[in-house]
Amino acid sequence: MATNWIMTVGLSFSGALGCASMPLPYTEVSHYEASIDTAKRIGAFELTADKDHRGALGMSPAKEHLVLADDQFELAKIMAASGDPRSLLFLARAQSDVDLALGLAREAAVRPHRSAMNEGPSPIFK
Amino acid sequence: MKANMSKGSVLHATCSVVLAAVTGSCATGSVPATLIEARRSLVASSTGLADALALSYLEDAKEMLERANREFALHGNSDLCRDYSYIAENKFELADTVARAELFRQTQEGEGVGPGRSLRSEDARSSTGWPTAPVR
Repeated sequence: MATNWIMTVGLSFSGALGCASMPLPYTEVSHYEASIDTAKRIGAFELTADKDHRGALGMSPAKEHLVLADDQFELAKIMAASGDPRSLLFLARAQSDVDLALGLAREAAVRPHRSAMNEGPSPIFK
Repeated sequence: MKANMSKGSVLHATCSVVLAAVTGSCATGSVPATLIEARRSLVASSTGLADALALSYLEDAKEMLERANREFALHGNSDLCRDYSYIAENKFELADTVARAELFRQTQEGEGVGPGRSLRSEDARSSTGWPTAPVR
């Protein structure tokens, strides 16, 4: 009888633990990680701020959004571990930040290329 | 470029903001700053380059802003409303960025390339690799 009771309590406890965390959706996480890889590949993390394009943190706008994306992705993982459904929204926020960072990086690549058309492609595309 | 900014889109953007303000006034809590920013971006982007050169990105951003407005009308200044507003704001900025880059690209290609070629998501994916990540 005591054994049954212990087993019931144990199973309930492990069940509650299982429900406490919720995994982030695989597809969205993969998409996010692929976007980060792309940002690394095109050199968005190495973009430096210039006089006309400086974000609030003193970095290039693209890099700032990558930092924000990273922060929000980490937060999403922590929230998911504690079973908070808002983790999905933080993942979406992170994705929107990395998308914008990629856009800004690609724009930065086109912009200098215009003023120095005879000097070859922009250095951010490696 | 002014020819591309249709009066209809300006009117539509203005009506959206007014409607959102009216419905928002019925909701509980003050309007979150992110939502205000996103609404401002709607007007700016709808009357700017994005309306002509990055229409699909702009539509994506508008859809997200609609969600934020709806959420605000239903539940006021909620986490969900702020999250949607944040994403909408980023999407508006992305639409503007894509449009600016497209304008640069067209300028580089010479005067022979006529204005008004909209950079669609499909084109972007296949040729330039622009990010496309509509949040559903």
